[in-house]
Amino acid sequence: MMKVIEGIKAIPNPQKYRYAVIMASCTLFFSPFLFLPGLVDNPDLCGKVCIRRFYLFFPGISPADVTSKMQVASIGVYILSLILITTFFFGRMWCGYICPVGGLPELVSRTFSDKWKIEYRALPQVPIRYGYFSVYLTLMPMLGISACTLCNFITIPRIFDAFSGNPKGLAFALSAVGLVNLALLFLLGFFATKGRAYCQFLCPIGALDGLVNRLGAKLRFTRRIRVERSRCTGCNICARNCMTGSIKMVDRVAVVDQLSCMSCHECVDVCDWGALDWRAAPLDEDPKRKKKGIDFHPQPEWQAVYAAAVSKEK
Amino acid sequence: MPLNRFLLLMIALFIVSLQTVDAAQRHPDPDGCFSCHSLEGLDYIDKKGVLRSASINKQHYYSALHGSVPCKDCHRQIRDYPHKVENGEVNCGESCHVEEPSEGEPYTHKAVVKEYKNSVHGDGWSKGLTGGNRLREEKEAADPSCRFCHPNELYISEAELPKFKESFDHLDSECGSCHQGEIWLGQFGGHILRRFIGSRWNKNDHNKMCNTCHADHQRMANVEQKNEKTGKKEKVGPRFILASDSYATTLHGRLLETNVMQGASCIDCHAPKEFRHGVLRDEEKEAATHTENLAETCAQSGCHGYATHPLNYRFVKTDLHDIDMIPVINDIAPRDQSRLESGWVKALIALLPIIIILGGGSLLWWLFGSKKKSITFSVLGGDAFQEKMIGRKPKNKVKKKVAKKIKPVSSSSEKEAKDE
Repeated sequence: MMKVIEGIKAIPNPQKYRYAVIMASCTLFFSPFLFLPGLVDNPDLCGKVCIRRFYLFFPGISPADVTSKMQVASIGVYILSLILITTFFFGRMWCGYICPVGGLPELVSRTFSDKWKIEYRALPQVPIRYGYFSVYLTLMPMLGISACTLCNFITIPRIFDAFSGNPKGLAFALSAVGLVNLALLFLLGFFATKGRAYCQFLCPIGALDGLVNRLGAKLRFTRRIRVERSRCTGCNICARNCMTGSIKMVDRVAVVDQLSCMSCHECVDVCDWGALDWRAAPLDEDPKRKKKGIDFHPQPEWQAVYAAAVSKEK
Repeated sequence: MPLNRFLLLMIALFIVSLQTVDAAQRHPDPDGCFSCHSLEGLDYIDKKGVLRSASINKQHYYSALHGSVPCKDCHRQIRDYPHKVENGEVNCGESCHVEEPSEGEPYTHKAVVKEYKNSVHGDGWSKGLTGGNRLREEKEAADPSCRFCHPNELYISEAELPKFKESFDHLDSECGSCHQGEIWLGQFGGHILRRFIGSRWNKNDHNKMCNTCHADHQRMANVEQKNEKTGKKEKVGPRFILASDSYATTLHGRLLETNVMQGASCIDCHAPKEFRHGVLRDEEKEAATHTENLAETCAQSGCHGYATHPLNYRFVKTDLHDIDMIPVINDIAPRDQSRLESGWVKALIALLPIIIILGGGSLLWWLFGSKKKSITFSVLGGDAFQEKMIGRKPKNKVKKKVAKKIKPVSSSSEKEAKDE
């Protein structure tokens, strides 16, 4: 028991808050309380609150079809827009801090030993994610493979349902599709290092959110996980702790992939050298104190995107 | 009591009595049926020994769908009384009470009955409907009769009544500008207005009606369908029996469940045309759900307009009654082994061993593993992570390489030693 308490104490403070928010959002979004979907009389995260179906593309689709699809998921449209706008300015707050569907597997996974998990983070996640995303957007609808079949926004709430004794949840958890979904939840969630493999590879919201995150990262006023390269010692503790595998050591300096980063802040918490921070870049790019072109105090760069850094150095 | 108060009371009573007279006039009983049937306790015992009530509650009848229709318009064979039970039979396919003013011909349900007769439910009763036949009709017949789905319910539901009344007050100005004359406005104004205000049945009501039978597994398990190849009648499979359950798992069903009316009801796909009674088997060419007609059915207005695009031909064939979405364990499972052949089951069998190994390992670690804080890398993929992401060589690989280098040296030196 003491060990557990010590373990909890060892968690960096910002992460404790993040875990608490995820746990709270699980109770708000899922059965038996189901508070937030309940506000719009929805028993789960499907139908009018679905945020991952209305932008599917079908050959020959007309604007009227798109509007009708958006009308069906009217609340989902608002939620997704809100998520994407927040992401643009502050990084992927929804994915990292709120999303109960991605957060739950992460929290469960963190209670297991890292040894008995599958390490997905070395896989080329960007091509896999956007490859699957394009298949999800165009090919699957065209072939009539329901986007809902492998949706974890159905699976995880339904499994919660099953535990709270709701017959509907049990009915899903015991169906062939439900069982495979459950197995995938284990393999891509509970038994994945840091538990975010589904977010990394399959989540369509994550894919969209990642694109917006990358887009906003180019601007200097947006808050992102940024690296001050001159402070990085190359100890790689951030890369080891990064739950989405978006930090890679390139020439012994941490580099953040903004297509995958969720701004979960853990790298900032574990870095002993303050080389990473969730912040905006200094707006004045040129150092103010200059004497004959020599900087007395080089201003920190706080780069979010690596490619820009390289081109500058060259 | 002062005189003017008394007068007021009398006037009020007179007005009330006038209104009751009016109400009675709106529901005439020209054949005098109510002189007997309105009596309470008009009971008799039929040939089978079942006690039956022939009493009709006037209030119930008048407020029902056919409340303004004289009895003999439907019960035509009754000429005098007391009448025989058989003479009371009703045929829904006959012409009836109202004259359609633009054509001047009596309205009839004939076309509806014809469509219904051609449908899968066509063996149900559309004539011979009497109170005495009700038990046979409801319990013994396999197919639904007209009356089974269309009980004589309120013409305008209570919830719609205030809205109806408000609109009815504006009838003269709204409809009367074109449709003049008493027949149109008086007889049909209300009729048409009610349909405008919202059809009595919404999609959920349709589904509820279909589900009275189709959600009943026991009842559906008894259904027999003709096998097209052998020509023999066979019991239906689990796909048919569980059709209502599998529909409920689709987006169509789930939307309607949460009152988002863009979802599709049973009838929307199975009988979208004409009078919406022509439900046919998928195999039949005229069926809306036949492979060749599916695109058109899905592309109905307000639904999947793009369904007719040639590239979407697979989309149209999406399985909307997928039994893989229904619990493996259910009341018809024992005789359904075919479901084990599903691709999902195979996928599950492939995934399970990995979960068991990882789960077992995690459990052992939980129980006996050391909780000391140290850098651990995963058994599966940990090495790749170290090499690609952190940029360092995994420890065990370094060792192996050293061992490999030593081995050949030692063996060759041994050989040399032997040679010497």
